[in-house]
Amino acid sequence: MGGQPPAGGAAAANAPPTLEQLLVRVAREDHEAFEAVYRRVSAPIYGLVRSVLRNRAKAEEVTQEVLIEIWRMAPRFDQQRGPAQTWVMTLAHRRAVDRVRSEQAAADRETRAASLNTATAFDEVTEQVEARLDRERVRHCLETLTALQRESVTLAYYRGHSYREVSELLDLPLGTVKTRLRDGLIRLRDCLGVTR
Amino acid sequence: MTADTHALTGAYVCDALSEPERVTFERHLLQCETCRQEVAELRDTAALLGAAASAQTPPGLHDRVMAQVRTVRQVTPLATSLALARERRRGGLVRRISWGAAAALVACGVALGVIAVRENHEIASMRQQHEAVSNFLASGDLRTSVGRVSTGGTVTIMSSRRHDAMMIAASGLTPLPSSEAYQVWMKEAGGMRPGPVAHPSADGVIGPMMAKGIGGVTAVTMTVEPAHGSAHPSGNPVLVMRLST
Repeated sequence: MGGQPPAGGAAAANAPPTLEQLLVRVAREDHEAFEAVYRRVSAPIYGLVRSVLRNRAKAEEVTQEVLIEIWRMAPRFDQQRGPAQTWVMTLAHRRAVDRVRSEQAAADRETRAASLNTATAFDEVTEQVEARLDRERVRHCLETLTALQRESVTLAYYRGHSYREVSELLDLPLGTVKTRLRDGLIRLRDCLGVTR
Repeated sequence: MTADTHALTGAYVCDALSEPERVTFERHLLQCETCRQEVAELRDTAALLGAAASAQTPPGLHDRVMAQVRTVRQVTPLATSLALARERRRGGLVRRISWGAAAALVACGVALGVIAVRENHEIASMRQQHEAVSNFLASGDLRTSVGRVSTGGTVTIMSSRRHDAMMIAASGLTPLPSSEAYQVWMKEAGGMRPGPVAHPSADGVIGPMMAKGIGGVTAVTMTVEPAHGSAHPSGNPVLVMRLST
């Protein structure tokens, strides 16, 4: 405190470490840091994965896989390429969607196709997802989308449907769904103030 | 490529493309800087949406994850494994140094060889490759070069000095019989180092494929080789490209 600028790193000594800093420590097999990463990311991962899989037991399994993958791949995390949250949630979403697709390829393809056709599928999706949003900002920004944009983003991202499935579900041409997805995400990006 | 392909950024970020569409789109990303920027931003956006769906985790998950982590080995950092791969390729190294150091290097090389095998195995999985490609495309220092193949087609190379790696894709190539393939070569001070080998698809497309260790590479060439590639170029190059730095 003697008027000297703090030596490198000491300045942030009392601030909680960022997720990026924690991952750098995890990459050195620091179990304590991984514990802290778990506390930060397990609930978001589980919530997203459960939203896509709509089954608690499967969601728990996939969440565990994703967390182990974060541990395993931490040495390859590079913060120059983007925020840690993006790295983590991209991994989680991809894993959840892989699981849905591999199951689709297997026996319950037809069950899922049937559930796609129920008229209430979308209403249910929106309600569940929006009820869970703990970030008012995201909720607010979702509300700024047109209904079609919001439906497309919700079904594709939160439910893990391919854009072909979304086009069947909403009875819209493929090209329209593509555009709505992109326009919707761009509007969300601007509303949430995301820049690189 | 068309505006139609460009419009897939949203679906790509939502993992909502079919496998063939994803591959096509990633090829498009190679040539489209605007798309890469958009994909990066939309990915950050999607991550915020995902985090907003947060839900309380089931009891017991924590203990299972912490226990399992104790049994799981981490991958080596990309930079390390790239450097190792390069060392192993430079076979002449051991001869030029003292015996003591050579013995140490050999012992070390054995241990590292094990890691490298494990990693080759990992890289074989499609998902890993997909992740490698999309991570690479997010690099900030990508340089693009395009070259014309004398027997038909074009090759696009994107290189990142920071990642010490390049990604190679080609289209419009002359199809080859199944006994032959196109092979990429890295021109270095010490000569030609063998790069990736690929058989073009029926419509003359290759890649994207990754090549590592580009530090001393001044040019990239391509030849037609037997299906599994060669240790030295056996024919005249059908492509010579200086690497933009």
